[in-house]
Amino acid sequence: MPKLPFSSEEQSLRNMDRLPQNVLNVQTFDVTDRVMARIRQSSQESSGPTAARRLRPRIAAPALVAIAVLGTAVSGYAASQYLELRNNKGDVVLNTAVTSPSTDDVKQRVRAEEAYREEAKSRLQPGEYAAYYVKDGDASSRQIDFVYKENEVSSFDRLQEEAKRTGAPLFHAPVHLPDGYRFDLGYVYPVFAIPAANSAEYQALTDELIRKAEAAPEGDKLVTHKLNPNPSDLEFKLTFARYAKGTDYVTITASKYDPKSSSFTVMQNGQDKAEQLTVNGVEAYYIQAGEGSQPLEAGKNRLGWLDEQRGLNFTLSDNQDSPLSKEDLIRIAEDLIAPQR
Amino acid sequence: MDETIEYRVKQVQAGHTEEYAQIVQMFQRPIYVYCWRLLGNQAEAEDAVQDILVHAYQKIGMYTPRVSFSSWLYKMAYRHCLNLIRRQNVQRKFKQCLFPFATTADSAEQVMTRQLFSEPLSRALDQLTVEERNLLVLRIFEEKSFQEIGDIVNKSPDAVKKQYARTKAKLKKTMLHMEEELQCQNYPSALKNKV
Repeated sequence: MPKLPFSSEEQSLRNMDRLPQNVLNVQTFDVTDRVMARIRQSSQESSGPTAARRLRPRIAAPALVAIAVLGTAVSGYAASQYLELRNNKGDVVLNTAVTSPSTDDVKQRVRAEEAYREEAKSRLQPGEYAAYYVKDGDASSRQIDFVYKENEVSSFDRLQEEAKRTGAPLFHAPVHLPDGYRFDLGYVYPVFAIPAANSAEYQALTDELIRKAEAAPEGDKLVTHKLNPNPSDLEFKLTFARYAKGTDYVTITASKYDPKSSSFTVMQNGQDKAEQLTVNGVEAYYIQAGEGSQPLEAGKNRLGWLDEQRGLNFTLSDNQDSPLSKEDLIRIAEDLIAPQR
Repeated sequence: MDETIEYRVKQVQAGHTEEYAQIVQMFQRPIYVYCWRLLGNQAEAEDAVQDILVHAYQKIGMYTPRVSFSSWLYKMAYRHCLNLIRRQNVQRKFKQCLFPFATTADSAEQVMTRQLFSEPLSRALDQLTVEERNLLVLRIFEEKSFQEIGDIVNKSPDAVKKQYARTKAKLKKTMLHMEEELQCQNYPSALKNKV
């Protein structure tokens, strides 16, 4: 059944298509391995998007932050059509989009990468940052990565002090927390400039880490190299707070963004329910994880909004089997959003 | 579907190289068929798909979703095929200048199996420019909207629509002309049969 309404003349041309006789030929056509081999080869030569990525400062999101922000990606568009939040000019500044779950292979690789990152972080003191390399037998992945160990604090006052000292986002302590939830931990997190992939500095760092890895005893796959960043290279763009009751928790993440040039896409599963809300006069989104849907590295409930005046993106989230409801998150949001006139 | 693609593209842009395998799997066959139709040669299309997908990976950092990722990729495929065809035409002309009496050794059957259209469409399409052929392929066989075609060829949907109407008329005329020629060629034998 054609997608377009074709005229009889067009249809007679379509009848001269020999694709149906070649269906098997097309169905068995698969160049994935060959294309990926060429890409890995070219990545080795520091080209492609990996190189571009290295040129930009980035947030190496720690695991706890990932709960709240992994589903949130900064992009220059708002194409997809689940929910749309607009600014006062009518431009879409945040939208939600559905994503399909990753394949098992990808999940496994992400888990392995996360484990190595955590191990690299465990070798650091709070406030330190390092480059690391994993010798995993894949000669094509001669890539180093970077990790920062955040300075965790155990009181909200300390978190605010840290935020003031570093210029990280500030917010009020929520007063309407669910029963029994107490401040558990918090930290500020920097975006740090890392050397460009094609720079001599980056190459020297890679060579040194690979040399170290080759000299390391058998079975010792991870090698790290501590770096001393110039304080001006660290821009603290994110503040994270977690409130917990036993194993349940709710998190608040506030991250800086540029309202002039950024828009956001929040990913959700197909079964999740997304809803648009107004909290103290501010448009917000609420996403509830669908029953039986594969979790998207996010909690059961998510609520977020943009503070355009201050250039802050707020996300509230909880754990996947959280007893909290939409109303619990709304009450916290109301404490954080100053009533709009 | 589109959200899934855009999500995967963002993953690749963020440095998750292996996610690109999913994009390759989604697009390799449509792009293969498209190149096959444009180039009129299966083997060349097989090579072209690989080059296009590798090139698209290298440029993926520059992709912004002002147009769909699919249109962006088709645009890249179109330019690649256009360059290939132009290069082949130059080589053919060059060979004809050097070896005016040389003939190609391909049998009609070989040519037929390489093509993805049956006669007389295949021969009629050969009479069109690559741009015209592309327009018909995208609209009639790839079932793209005028907006999508506009995104691929860098023209407004209205301009595409007008050009499509002109191209369709040209194709019809070419096919009629070919049919008449065929009737003329067959006329003596038809007459003989009648007698």
